Parts: sequence; C-alpha cells; structure tokens
Amino acid sequence: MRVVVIGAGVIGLSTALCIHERYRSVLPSLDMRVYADRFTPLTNTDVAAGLCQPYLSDPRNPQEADWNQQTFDYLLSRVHSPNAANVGLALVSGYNLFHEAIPDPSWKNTVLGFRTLTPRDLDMFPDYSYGWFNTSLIVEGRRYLQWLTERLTERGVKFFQKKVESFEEVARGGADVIINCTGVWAGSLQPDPLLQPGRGQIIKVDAPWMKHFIITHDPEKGIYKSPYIIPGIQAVTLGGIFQLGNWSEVNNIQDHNTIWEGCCRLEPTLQDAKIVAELTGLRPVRPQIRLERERLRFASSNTEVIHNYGHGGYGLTIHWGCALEAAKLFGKILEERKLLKMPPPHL
Amino acid sequence: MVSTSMDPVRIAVVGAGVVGLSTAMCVSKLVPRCSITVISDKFSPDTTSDVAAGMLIPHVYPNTPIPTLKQWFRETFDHLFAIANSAEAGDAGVHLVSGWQIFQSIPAEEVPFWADVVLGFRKMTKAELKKFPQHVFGHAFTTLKCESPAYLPWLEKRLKGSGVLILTRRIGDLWELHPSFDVVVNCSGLGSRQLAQDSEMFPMRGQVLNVQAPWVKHFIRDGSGLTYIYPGTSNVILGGTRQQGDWNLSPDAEISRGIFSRCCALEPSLQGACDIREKVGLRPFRPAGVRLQTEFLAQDGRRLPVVHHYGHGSGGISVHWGTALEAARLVSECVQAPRTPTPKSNL
Repeated sequence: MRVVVIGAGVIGLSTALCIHERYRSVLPSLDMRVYADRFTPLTNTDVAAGLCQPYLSDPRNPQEADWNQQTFDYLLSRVHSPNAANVGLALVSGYNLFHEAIPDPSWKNTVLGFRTLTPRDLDMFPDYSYGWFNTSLIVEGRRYLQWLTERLTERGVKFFQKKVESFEEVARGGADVIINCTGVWAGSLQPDPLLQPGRGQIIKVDAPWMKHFIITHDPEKGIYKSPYIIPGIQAVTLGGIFQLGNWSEVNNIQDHNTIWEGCCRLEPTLQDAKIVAELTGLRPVRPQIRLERERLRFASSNTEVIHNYGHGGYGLTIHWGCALEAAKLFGKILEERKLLKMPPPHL
Repeated sequence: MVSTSMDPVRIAVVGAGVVGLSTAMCVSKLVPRCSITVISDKFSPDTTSDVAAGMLIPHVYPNTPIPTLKQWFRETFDHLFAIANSAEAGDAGVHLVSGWQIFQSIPAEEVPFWADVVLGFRKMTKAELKKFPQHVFGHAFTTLKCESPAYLPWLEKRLKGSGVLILTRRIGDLWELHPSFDVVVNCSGLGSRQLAQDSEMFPMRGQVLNVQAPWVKHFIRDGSGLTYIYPGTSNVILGGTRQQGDWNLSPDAEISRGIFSRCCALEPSLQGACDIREKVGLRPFRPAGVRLQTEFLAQDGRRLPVVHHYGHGSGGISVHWGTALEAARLVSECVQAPRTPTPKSNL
C-alpha cells in the first residue's frame, strides 16, 4: 500500500505521522513518502508565529471547533514533557485587545486561565477598552517541522523534493492513496475557487523581555489586519498584515512600516528591538477546511485522494485534529479494501 | 554641623546595590540644594542585588505592620510599572512576567496582602494545576521582574546625569566620612554588621543557577519560597536556598544538583536547559526587619547624622523604592533640623 503525502508543511507532515503511527503496525505493507517542492525553512508554516488561537467567531464547520480543541489538548499533554522545547512547544500567556466589549469566545475553556481584563491591565493599552487574558501554547513552525521530519525519518518515511504537476502523475507512479496537503497551492492540482491566498508579512525581532503575546482586533479591518506581537522561543514575531488575493511572496516596505508603527505604538519597548528577519507567507484561506475523500478516475487507477488543505491562518492551531480526521478517512479506505488484518486502532 | 544655609548639604550614600542607588535617586529628588556622592567598594555586577532574580513578590518582615509593607510594595510596583511600559524598559531591565505560585497544601492565607498590587491575581483553575501534580492550590498573577545587572547601571547613569558623584572606595568606619560630608545614608546591607556595629545582621545565603531556557515564559514559585523558576531577559534563574549564617560565596555543586532537580520536577522542559552558571548571594538579613532610622553619631565633640537604610533580607528589590522614599524623607528631616536630635523610632 503506497501512500504519497503531497506537501511538507505542518499539515502534510503531521498527517503523515498521524497515519503512520496508527496504521503501520496493522499494515506492514505501508510504504509512505512525502513529495514537496518546499521543505522547512521554506514553507508557510515556517513563517507562522505559531500561537494556538482559533478565530474569534465560530467556524462555519462545527467540526473545526472540535479539531482545535483536540489539537490544543494534544499539544498541552506534550508541553509538560522534558523534550517540549525540542518539539518547539512552550506555554505562553497574553492579551487579546478590543475597542469594545465582545462575547467570550467558544474556546475560552480550552485555553487555560481565561479571564477578562481589569482596568489596571487596560491601563497598559490606552488605545483599547476591553480584552482577555489567557494562557495558551506556541508551536514554533520551524522546530516542529524539524521534529516531525525526524520522527518520520525514524519510521522509514522517505522524502522527495519534487514539484507535483497532477494527481494523475502520482497515481500512475503507483500511489494507492494520495494525501493532498498542498495548502495555498492546491488549486494548481485541482481548481478550487474557494481557496485564496491571505498574504501575511512578519518582522522577527530580538526582544527577550517580551514574555506575553498581545493581539489586537479591529472588527472593521478584519482578522490579522491589526497589530499583533507574539513571542517565540528565540525571537518575537510582529505582524498585522492580511491581504486576500495577493500572491506576492516578496516583502513589501509599506507593510513593514504598517507592522512596525502599529506594534511600537502598542508596545513602546519594541522601539529598541533589533530586527533579525522579515518574512512573507501565504495563508491558505478558505471558508472552511477541505478535509474529505475523493476517488480519482484515470484509466485503470483506483487511487483515492484525501484532501486536507485550506487552514487559513490557523493551521498550527488545528493541525492535529485534522490529522486525526484524515487518519480516520484513511482507516475507512483500508476497511473498504479489506486491507486490515485486525480492527483499526481506536482513534 | 558646619554648613550654612548657603552651602549645599553634602550627602554620602554608602552602598551601590539597589538600596543605595535608589536611595540616592530619591534623595536627589526630594532634598533641594544638596550634593550627593555614592560611595561603595562594589558596583553592579558585583553587588548582592545582581544575584537576585528581582521578582516583585514581597516578603513579610515580622516587625513591620502589613499596611506599611503594602505601601512600600505598591510604591515600588507603581514606580517599576511605569518604567516597564515606557521606552526605557529594555535599558532599565524591567518587564512584566506572568506565572504561578503553587502550594502542596492549602495555605492559611489564601489571598495574600499584596494580591491587589500585582495584576490579575486569581486562584489557579483545576486545569492549570494539572501541570503540577504534587500541588493542590495556587495563585496565578502577573508581576514585574527588575533585573539589577541592567537596573543598577541604568540608575547610575541617571544619577550621574543629575550631578551625583560616584566613588569606588571601601569604607571601614562611617567616621571616615566626617567632616567631608554633612549627612551619611548607610545602605551597606550586610556591611552594616561592621559599619553600624549591628550584630543582629547576618547573611541568609542563597545559591541560584542561571540557565539558557528561552522557551520558559512563566515564573513558577513554590509557596515555601525555596524552589523557583524566574525567566528573565537573558536567562532563566533557578533557585534556591536559604542558609542562615552561611558566609560562603563559593557555589556548592551538590546544592546546584538539588536546585536543578527540584526545578525540573516543576518544569520538565528545563532538562533541555544549557549554559548553566552558578551564583551565590548573601541576603542582608535583619531579624527586626528593615532599619529605617536616623542616628546621631557623636564622638570627641564631632557629630555625624546617619540615616540607616539596610536589612532588607529576601525582599530588597520588592520594596526598594518604597523604603528609599522613606529614607529620603528621613534625610530631608535631618537636613532641615540638624541641631535637634530627636531619636526616630524604628519602623
């Protein structure tokens, strides 16, 4: 049984690991490979700040709320282990700021210690009049992808650098199941008018005194268009850019100024921070994640595709729940083909 | 007293730890027409303050009324909070940090006196306590960290800017300062055992480890105060010990192992910490609490007013600004009415 995962961002690698962990022991013939044209540090995952935080409003697909929760619980159980830093995981607390009171988010009990801000807290942010404080997790994209790559390599999964032009090409190569984790570029394999890039630009600075995340919200502008500051393991990510439909992967000076002015206004201590990197990424924006099976029809091929793309700006936040769901779909394929020697492991 | 009302009052501040420098600062602001000289054998990074993590979590001084302690803490917190929210924060080494104080049994006092001085104080939720299986109760809050290796040089720079002189010299006897100075402010900490002939003063030895673990963003303090993890700008400080009457400034390897092991039990990811450095500090412990008192030394017809300001034990940084303001008031009274030596009672 040959499985080809296309895409080596967080979605591709975590789905690969999830499936391999669950099915290798009951499917000795499992031969898994990862095909991608970009690997860490060149994926969109590498640009992400890595804070686990779903969008404020409830997702169109209620399953996504479950996937967010499953991901948080899974990462929380790993953050207390001795090798947490090696995986790229850390607990981080911080502030969400608003211009007016809004209802608590549906994920208030998923994160830890959720509370609304007191007047003294708000004294620190004169432009804002309402907010939340809570403890969440960061998953540093680069470190996490490296860790996933190490785990997959240990398991004998092979990596190939190649640009896949079509599902057909992969099917003719012998793939029985294709896991499509091509993110924002999924449209080149199969047109998807619902998928668009949500271009983001970030500045990474050296500001080790910043121990909290600060995320501002401006409902008039929309998600990610308001300044945010997110400390990572080494550097602090400054952001606040979201441009729907913009495919440019080049840093833009106006965006740089927007981010810098917005974040320094929010946190004056950043003025002296040294810039260590500036990056652009394309969030794979879609009204909801495409996570479903599709049977391909080519000549004599019997290839199944499991699509897993369109995670917008919350890929790291939701990745494990999606990987579990993709693994369930994979299990169904095996059942249908009567490939399992014993009942599938409990997911 | 030889000065006339025309000459500036010459004030010597003995000691350049956090108490000496902050007192010099407060005196310079409160007392008009004075010239101040800070005299010390040790400056940052070689003072006792430099070893301290500088977390704003106050200690109780047995003979100090709680309202006084609270006032000192609040004054210090407000002073540092303003710095933390300004562009000076990075230079001054002051930043906010959130975290948890945890207890293995429910403490007699569930809400400490300083709960409304720090930010966002609340009890930990069950979900938060899961991180600490040996602990049954905890406080979650946001406080300040004031790092002496940055704060002291920052204070020194400001003092020099307002015309305060800084002199490196070891004073063996306060009379050495007569007649060059009109008032002496004694901020010599443990040195007061000799300089003020205060036989009650003794060291409370503390050993700590400075490690690299930048993924740790929260403080964790065991309610007993003996085990703590304090993340800072350039390192994480792990502690600690409380060894009464121990003058040994050399680190003890077995104690280091014990500290590391206790801290890893609370934060397993510390096992990945590197670049571990041992440090020792001798807390200036005074059983009766902080000595804030004016003493009129007299010998062979000579008179020398001394404002004593020492004995802060474990809590120096937490209350330094509040006690410095009080010491400055004592100096001011001294300068205004030098010929009526009314004994000032100890606070």
